[in-house]
Amino acid sequence: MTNPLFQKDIISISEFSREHIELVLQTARSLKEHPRDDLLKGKLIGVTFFEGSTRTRLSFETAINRLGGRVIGFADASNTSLGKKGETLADSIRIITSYTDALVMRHHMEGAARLAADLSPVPVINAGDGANQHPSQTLLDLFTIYETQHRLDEIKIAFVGDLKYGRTVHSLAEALSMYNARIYLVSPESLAMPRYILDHLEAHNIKYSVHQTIEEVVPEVDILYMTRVQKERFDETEYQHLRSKFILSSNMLAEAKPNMKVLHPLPRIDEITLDVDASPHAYYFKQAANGVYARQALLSLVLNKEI
Amino acid sequence: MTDQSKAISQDKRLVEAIANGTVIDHIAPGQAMNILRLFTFLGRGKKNRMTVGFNLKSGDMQSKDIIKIENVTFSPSETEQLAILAPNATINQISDYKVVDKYKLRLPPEIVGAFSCPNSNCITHQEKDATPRFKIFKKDNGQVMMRCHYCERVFEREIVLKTNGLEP
Repeated sequence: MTNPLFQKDIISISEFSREHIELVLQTARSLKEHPRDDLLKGKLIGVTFFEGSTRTRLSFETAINRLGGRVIGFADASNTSLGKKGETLADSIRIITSYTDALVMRHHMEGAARLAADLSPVPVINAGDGANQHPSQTLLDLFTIYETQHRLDEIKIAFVGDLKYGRTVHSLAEALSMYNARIYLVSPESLAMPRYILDHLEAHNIKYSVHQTIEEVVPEVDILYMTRVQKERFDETEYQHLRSKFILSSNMLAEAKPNMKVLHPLPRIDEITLDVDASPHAYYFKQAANGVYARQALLSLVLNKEI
Repeated sequence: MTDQSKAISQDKRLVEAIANGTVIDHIAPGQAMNILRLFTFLGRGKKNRMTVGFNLKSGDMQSKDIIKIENVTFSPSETEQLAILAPNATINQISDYKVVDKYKLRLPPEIVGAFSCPNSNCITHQEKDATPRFKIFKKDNGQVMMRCHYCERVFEREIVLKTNGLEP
């Protein structure tokens, strides 16, 4: 039977049903336990990063190489016809997708991936379009939650830090609203979760609460999802003040449940102190490693009728 | 005849006075100006004779605006754009001084090319191939919402109109 993601564009987590998510997670688990080097054999994938992102790009390229596929592309647009000669993004996409079997693309403008998908004859995988979507990040987060908690239903999760601009937390909250999550929000008031996400949670009867400190939520949750408060959004004094309130250190984890894991989309700057790394609750580096399996699963499903 | 019914009758004559073309009736007061701006956008207001009435007496509304535009029939997509601006207006198609078709504007499920996206970092502002496109839906409280096909942001109708220089 043809898998439902075969030859499909992967642009937004909002287009994923529970069945789609579970198919990706099962495939990721299977590829993690039983590596395959043949699923992309003979396939050429365009990996085009119009905006730089080292971890995401290397993670996709690792996934492709491990599955036996080959890669063409670029790590930033500054040296391309688009960057140097003023070619439109649409024309760049038309050309690159005429060479390749699939396109992985990152761009700084919201909606760029959708435009690419509308123009491309081959499947497009969005590796981040501005502040909008980054579905493979959401899938690797869900995979990591499933791996550590053995379920997705009724997870208690706290989102900490920049909840206003962090697309990672928006997409993950949206996805978890299909699984009756209990959500705790911990952020400075100026970086609170946007209204439209709260509307989405309310429309799905998802219980959420707003908190001022990390300590309040640590004993309650299965997942503590940390994000970076971006320095450039504040003046120095305000930043130092906010920063000090949203830093996780190992002494704050004493009350955590044994199953609780700390996740972070990385890069971490100083919102998780180094002493947390040795804690059994720290899982962010394994989460980043899971990115390869989640991306392997996506690429395999998009390019193989059956696995 | 009371003063009010005289006024309504007078307004009615104003509507019927067109030989061929379209009358947009029952426009919420103040919205006619926005529709005229939209006509400019559509290139419809250049040569065709138009009559505009503001704040006219109306039987079922406190007051209304009205626009007559001669020798013009709106395409379905133009009608959809009008529906975003004047959701409760009525279109009267006039031929030889008679109303040959009459219908209420309805919100379309999607609108293409009429309004730019309020998100300044949306790809529609950079790429000509990305024609602005919104899905239209109503919230439970009746608020009309517009979701950009590209950047996926959801806006209240009023925000989209304001960003496009149209006062809701």
